[in-house]
Amino acid sequence: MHLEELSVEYIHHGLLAKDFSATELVEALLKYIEDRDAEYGAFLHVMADDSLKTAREVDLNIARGDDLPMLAGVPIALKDNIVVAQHPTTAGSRILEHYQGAYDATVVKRLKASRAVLMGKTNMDEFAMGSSGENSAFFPTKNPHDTTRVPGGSSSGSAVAVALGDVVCALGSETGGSVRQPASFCGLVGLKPTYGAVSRYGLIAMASSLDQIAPLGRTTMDVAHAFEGISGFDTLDGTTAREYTFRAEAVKKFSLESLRGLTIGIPKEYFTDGIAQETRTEVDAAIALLKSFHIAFREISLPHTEYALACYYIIMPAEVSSNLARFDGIRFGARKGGATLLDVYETTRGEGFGREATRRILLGNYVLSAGYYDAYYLKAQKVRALIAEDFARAFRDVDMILTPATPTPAFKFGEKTQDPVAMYLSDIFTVPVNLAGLPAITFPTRALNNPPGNDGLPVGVQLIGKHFDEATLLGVSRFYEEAVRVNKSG
Amino acid sequence: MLTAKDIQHYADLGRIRLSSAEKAALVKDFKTIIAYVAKLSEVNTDAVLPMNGGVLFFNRFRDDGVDLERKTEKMNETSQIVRGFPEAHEGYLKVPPVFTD
Repeated sequence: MHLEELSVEYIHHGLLAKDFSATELVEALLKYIEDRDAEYGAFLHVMADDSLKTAREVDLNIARGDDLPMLAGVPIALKDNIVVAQHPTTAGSRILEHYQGAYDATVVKRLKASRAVLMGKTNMDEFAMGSSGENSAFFPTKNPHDTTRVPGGSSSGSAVAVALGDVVCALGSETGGSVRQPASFCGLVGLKPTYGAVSRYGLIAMASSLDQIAPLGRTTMDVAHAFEGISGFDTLDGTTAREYTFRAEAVKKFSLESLRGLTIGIPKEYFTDGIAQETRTEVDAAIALLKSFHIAFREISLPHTEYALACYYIIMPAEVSSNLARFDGIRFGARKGGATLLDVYETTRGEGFGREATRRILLGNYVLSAGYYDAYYLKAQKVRALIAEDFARAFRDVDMILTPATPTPAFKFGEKTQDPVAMYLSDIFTVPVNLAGLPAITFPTRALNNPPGNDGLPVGVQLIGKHFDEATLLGVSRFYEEAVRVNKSG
Repeated sequence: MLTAKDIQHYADLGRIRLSSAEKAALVKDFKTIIAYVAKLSEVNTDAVLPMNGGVLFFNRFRDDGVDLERKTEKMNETSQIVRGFPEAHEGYLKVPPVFTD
């Protein structure tokens, strides 16, 4: 068993061939986590007993010759805003510090049914609000490519657990780039599914019209398998699409011939002076490589791009102010104060919410207030429609859209903590996708060292697709990944 | 001009107790953020209908019947939910008095 080569398919075939057992694999990874996680801070809670129990069940299945689902025995980590019954679910917040899940999220139920090994709950910016992991109420997570830098956020722990090889894939959540941005900072593949492709039941809500659970992994196929495992209609989430089914097999069937027929749009509004030189150079090289597959490229315009982030910072806090109202010390987590009911609310929330969560709740209250509603909230909803229309128009001419994933590679700890707008701007290329409900994938521009480090900071490319066209995005990403891997090994 | 008094008002609406230092910091943050989001006023949105959801624009209703499997599951969850309450009394949620003298 070669831990550095772990992938979903490697594990599946290794288990079937009895090269190693699921128990051996999980024991080795638990040891890995125990030895190293104090340095990186990827996990808030390790589910050691449960993961060993699942591994033993998988070994029993194999001994009996049962059918083995692709994800059986595959170690997966979950962002700590995804509810797991009888395990801590804190969403990175003090207000839920001692809260235990009362039920399984739909994605958890599906992963358990396929006998994936749920290794633990990962660190995150409080309530998924942040772009660096620094807003975790507990401790920051470090980027394994350079520990003086942030791993990105808000799915900071999920990205680092995958980058370090503690797990093969992880689930994060996306509201404005919270999987794609950390995936790019840590050299991973991150897929933001179409709104409605994955059930949100059991995901602690941040902004419900934007949220999606999203997988990340070291390779495209790992992400494809995880996505197949979690996606599809769910009666418990009325926003899931009834008719959508994704199969990882579709990504494998995607051929060089299918690449040749594609047209990729390059939106001029995304290639501005705000992009770091190294990012620009690497993204240009990625475009050149994709052109060598005979993919057609053409310049397009998405005219409302410059308003997307402002639009997002009105709609998202408005939804946050409503969604976070339930954390009031009555039904969940710790209860503080107590002289009167109002005192319970105000003390619990005053002590329990960190600075960013407080900022967004208050902003939401502001933009929804009488006198400001039309100028901010209603205006933002209209601009959101224009942004969605920009994409719809572009997709009449092109099959997908390519942009840098982020304006810069991973930044230093503390670099943006004093200026909220500077922090928000690190999501400028990912936010429009959530506003329009589209799918998008980010993948690294070059093959990176494994284990991570000593080869420069990763840079990510983003491909944005049509609604429910995840298979094409993953298909292109897979060809690209194979090409850079071959180039690297010479 | 936004002041600490305004921040206090939005904090009251959100049931969040803040120190005066926190309020002062929020006044500063709000000014930066509001100055940034104000650029939306440049966009002409005449005759544009607001987009108020992720993608779909119709309501979906479930069948009006009892889902037995789901009902059993829900009943099993109840004890877990009660266990998660900050204070409980014989399976009920306990809260400070709503009405006081």
